[in-house]
Amino acid sequence: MPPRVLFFLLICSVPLSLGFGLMNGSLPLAPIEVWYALLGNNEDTATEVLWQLRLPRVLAAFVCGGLLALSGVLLQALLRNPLADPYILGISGGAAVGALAAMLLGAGLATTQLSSFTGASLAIVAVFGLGFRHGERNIYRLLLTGVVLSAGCGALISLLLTLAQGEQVKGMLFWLMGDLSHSQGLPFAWFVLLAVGLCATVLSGGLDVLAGGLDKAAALGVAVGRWQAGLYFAAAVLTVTALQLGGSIGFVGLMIPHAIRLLGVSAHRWLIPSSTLLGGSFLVLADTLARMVWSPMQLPVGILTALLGVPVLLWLLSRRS
Amino acid sequence: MQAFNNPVLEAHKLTVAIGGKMICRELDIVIRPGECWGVLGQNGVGKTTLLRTMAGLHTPQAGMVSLNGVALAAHARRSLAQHMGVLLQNEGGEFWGSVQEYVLLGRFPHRASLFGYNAQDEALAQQALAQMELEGLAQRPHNSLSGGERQRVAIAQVLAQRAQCYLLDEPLQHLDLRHQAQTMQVFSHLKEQGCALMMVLHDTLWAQRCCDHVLLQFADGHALHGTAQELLTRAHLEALYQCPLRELSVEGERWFVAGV
Repeated sequence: MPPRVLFFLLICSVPLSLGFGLMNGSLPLAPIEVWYALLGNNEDTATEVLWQLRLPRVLAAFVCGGLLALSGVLLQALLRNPLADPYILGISGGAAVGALAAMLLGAGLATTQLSSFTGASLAIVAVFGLGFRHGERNIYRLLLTGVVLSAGCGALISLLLTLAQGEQVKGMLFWLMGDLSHSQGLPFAWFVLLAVGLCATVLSGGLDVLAGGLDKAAALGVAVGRWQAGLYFAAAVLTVTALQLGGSIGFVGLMIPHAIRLLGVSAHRWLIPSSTLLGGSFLVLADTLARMVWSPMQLPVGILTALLGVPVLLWLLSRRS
Repeated sequence: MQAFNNPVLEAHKLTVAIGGKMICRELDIVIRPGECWGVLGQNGVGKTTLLRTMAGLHTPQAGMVSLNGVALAAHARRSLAQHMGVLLQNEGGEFWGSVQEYVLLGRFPHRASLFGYNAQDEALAQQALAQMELEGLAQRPHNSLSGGERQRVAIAQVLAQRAQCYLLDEPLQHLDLRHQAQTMQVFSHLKEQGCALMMVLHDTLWAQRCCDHVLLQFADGHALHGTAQELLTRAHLEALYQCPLRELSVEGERWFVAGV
């Protein structure tokens, strides 16, 4: 598919997915009701639900999906590994240990957030400090350091789950599988997404070169070390912001960039904005379904991202061959 | 005329080691415009490392390399890439786009705008594809190419760079006989245009035909360099490759075949 066409279709998908998210939930609204409620002229339940609950929720889902997909694109370019996703470098592991430890100690939402942020930051610094060597053309050390740290965090997560009491475990599982019901810091997340997304699109030519091999990139005039450090921290900021919004929602960061590539778009100039839009729309869709299918109970959105994404991606993969 | 003959690429007392192995010791070479240097040596003597050092991709132990009289370290990476094209033996990257997009990356150091390549870049990429007789492959996905095609595409990318000097690591690897000849013709043409070339070769015949200078790299870290005429002899090559050679003379060309 030509990149422009795909990009246009993805732009069109944004109002559709947002509209779908606004209409559905435990109180279904018709499109016209959503429209009137958005105008906010009357003071009825619909207006209240829409402005207080649904709008922040769909905006959180969209930005979170965009953050994860963009982070995935940047990490796949940095690590030049198709299996790279926002969680591969142990950032989510650190965040999860922080969040779960706070939950175990009975901390409130704010403290949990702070604690997960601290955990993620420690992981980012540790992986970079131990795994990154300036001027080293081999990025495996960074990748392996991240994977090792993730494994360590996995053990700590299991330990914390074992120590937790009945009701705590459920909250922890929701955090681990991703859940957008307690989203905070929405304006900041949008700022991060737009700022990093814009910078990455402007610098996308260098990413194309970098993806072709590090020595080649250096020979073509890219300051490889600086780019690597920049990409690492950009992806880390995106990931941490997404984790703060919705916990560790899986699948989006790994698969959305591949879905765009399988549709025939690989130049970063198009891959970055397209992945961001698709990630956002996709997560809004998944989150809305997570609220709908078991209504009034809400499922962790991470379950839906995988259940929806896996068949689509398998279809795309088999179609190519 | 004076300026035309100023050295393009120079090594001053260059000492290179990698992993504790000495690659070269206090090497001094001067490559001028229109010269083509062949680097020959056994597997593992460090031809690639020497070439990478000349390209500024590997830091020497001592001494320095300079481009147009200025040390490589004093050049910004981008300005270096505007003057120097490097063909690597193994790029180690996976490129997801088409052949044309891949060749266009050769224009990256010359890009006028952050937002993309202009019509001139596209035209030069197209020209490079034509030089390597690759027009038919332009729209193919890069990762669907055969080894030989991939090599020709990589050469086309370097050509699109329109550099002043070219460092080529085994440019003929994976190429069939016709494309070996065609590629060497392209390099000869660059030489005539006044570019400086340095290439790692294993085929002494091509070294004779295209290189005016050769650098013979020996396993103990010492090197011999001089004109191709005086160094490409049976005695030197037998010492270099540590094996007996037979010399055949065909139409005035010397062929060296490994004897048993």
